[in-house]
Amino acid sequence: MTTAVAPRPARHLVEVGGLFTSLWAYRRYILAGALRELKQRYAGSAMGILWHVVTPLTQILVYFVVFSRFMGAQAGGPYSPEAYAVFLCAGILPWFVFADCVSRGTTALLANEGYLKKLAIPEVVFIAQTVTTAGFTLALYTVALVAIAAASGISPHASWVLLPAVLLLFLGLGFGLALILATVTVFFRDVTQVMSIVLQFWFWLTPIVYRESSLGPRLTAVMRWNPPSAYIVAVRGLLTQGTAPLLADWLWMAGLAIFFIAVGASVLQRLSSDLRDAL
Amino acid sequence: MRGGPLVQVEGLGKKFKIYPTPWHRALEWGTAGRARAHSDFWALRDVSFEVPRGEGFGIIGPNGSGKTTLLKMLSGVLKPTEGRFRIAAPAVYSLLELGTGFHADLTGRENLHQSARLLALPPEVLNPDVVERIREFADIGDFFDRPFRFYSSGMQVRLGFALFAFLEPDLLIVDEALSVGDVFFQQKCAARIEDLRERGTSFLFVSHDMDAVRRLCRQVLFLSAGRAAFLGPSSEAINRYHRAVFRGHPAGARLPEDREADPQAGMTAAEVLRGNILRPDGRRHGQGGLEIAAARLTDAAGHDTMSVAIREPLQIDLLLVAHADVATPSAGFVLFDRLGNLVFSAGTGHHHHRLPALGPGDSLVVRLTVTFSVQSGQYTFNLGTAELGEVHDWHEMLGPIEVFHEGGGPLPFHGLAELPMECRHGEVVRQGECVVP
Repeated sequence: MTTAVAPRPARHLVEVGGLFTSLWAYRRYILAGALRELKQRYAGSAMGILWHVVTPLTQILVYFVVFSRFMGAQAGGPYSPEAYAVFLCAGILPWFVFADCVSRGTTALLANEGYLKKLAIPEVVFIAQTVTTAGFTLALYTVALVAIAAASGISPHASWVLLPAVLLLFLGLGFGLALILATVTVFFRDVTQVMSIVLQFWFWLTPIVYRESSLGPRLTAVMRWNPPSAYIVAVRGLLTQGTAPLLADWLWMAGLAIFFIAVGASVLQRLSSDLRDAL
Repeated sequence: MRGGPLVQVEGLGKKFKIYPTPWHRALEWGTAGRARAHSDFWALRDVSFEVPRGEGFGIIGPNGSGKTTLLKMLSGVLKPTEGRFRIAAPAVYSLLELGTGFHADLTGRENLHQSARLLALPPEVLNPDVVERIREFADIGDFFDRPFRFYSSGMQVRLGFALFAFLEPDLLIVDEALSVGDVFFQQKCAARIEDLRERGTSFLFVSHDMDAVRRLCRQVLFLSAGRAAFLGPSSEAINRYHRAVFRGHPAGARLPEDREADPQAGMTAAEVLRGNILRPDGRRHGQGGLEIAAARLTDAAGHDTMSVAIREPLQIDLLLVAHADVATPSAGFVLFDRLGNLVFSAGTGHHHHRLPALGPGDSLVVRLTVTFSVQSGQYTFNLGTAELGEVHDWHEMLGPIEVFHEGGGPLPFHGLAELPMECRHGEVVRQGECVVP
């Protein structure tokens, strides 16, 4: 091999750069596909896109009843029932999108095998498409979150304008993970099954239905290393108390998203040749 | 930039890593490649060629010879393991699978735009004017605005070809795509291809349809087991392909010398055995009293061949060996088209040609000369011997015989086969002399 190898950080930059060049070139396809996918999921159902909101809300209702009625103050802590409902929504709705992004992202390349076998289309396009679909859902949920918070008597706060930024970074983390998982799944198809189990545990290991502080100081410190928790905590802080994340939180959230996208880009880049051969 | 070849391929090769199970790959990944758990498979190696602008280039070879791997590398789907290629053109489209980007729920029109997005083309490329021309060319009527799921396979091909033909590509990669659809659409495609070629579009053409390859390509690469077995003029390449595929001979075996035009030439047991096409593992049944020990197909000049131009004859020589007393032997030939329709069946009996009685150990060469006044395409055939309706030896699924249309002119007829037809006409009745009451 006579190819000069760029120093490590530079190489990562090149890989991420290449990734976004492909995304830009195929933006029309990604957008059209994401919209079609969204339409298709609820095609033919009378309530259409409303199911997108109703399904998670029923689940939230179940958690609400279980935690506030049967487990009493334990989980809810200082919250009133209304505040706890907002608290749950603020955790579960973003988590739903994240989980959807990761699980669909995992199969994104396998599901589009037919295209990858025949067209020179970059792999990242199909992963970006699932993430974009998740992004649309997330936008819908953001509106729902604000509506629910306002309806439950929380007065709208100026810091809520930061919500989309936090959620976008969360989606960035989902994109990074999807890049890695989608690539690995082509070689090891069991990853799909493994991930559906992992996501179940992950839900409970992330402070979604409970407060991060209810775990005690030592577990809270550990929890900080669980990537999704930072975003959930930030959304919740914004929505329930109107507290904007600190600079350190912003850096951590942005850093995580960038790190995982860079790793994902690198993994995909390195394995893309083998990937097509393996399909 | 004119001048210089459009496509330059140098020593291209593709190696696949074969892992027996995913665990083997995991082992390799886990040890960072120090533990080697895969075996190598070279699907293609050492392939070099050039395609000039505005020319068709054919790639032929049996299944598994590396044709698709080569095309996938050239269209950017697979990365070469070794060697390199250069395509000096921005617009390269591949019909690797016609309508890959077509979505069942979208209409034909929507699918055109969907495909344009899939190819990352700016929306201006498919302006209303171009869409209209595609619609006209595809000629699928109202279906153009109906969901793709209702399309027949013919319509799917029409839409797919029409799209690619009107994107005005610099290089069009065509893989087994044009042999579908009815003959008129095929001719329309051929005309459009001719038109594109005149405007400088080059073609890479992979097909089993030798007729189309011969028509569209000047140079042909014959691949065999991942290697270039021959690269040169199309007729020579196709000839070698036929000889190699149907004979099991290595590619490029030497052609026999011409013989004088003697109707009996080559009708010896040795000659028939030398050019034998029967395989020991072929499908065969019958009681075996009169065996077909060997069979050979030659053209009018006596060359071994499995391809013949429309309306040209093939000589089918059968070496019969009797193992018992056969008082009234007969031999016959049955031809099927690629859909398995019986096209023609006849034997010595039908022609009131009496073969001499044979005793045990006797042998006889019988020549059936058949003129192929049938549509171009691939045909399979059976050969058999019988005595008074009793089958002695019957060989099935032989061939295929490739019937091709020579030259680029109009077909001599349309349909399955040419029937004897005479044309006459009467006197012209001039205006003013009308005799109709």
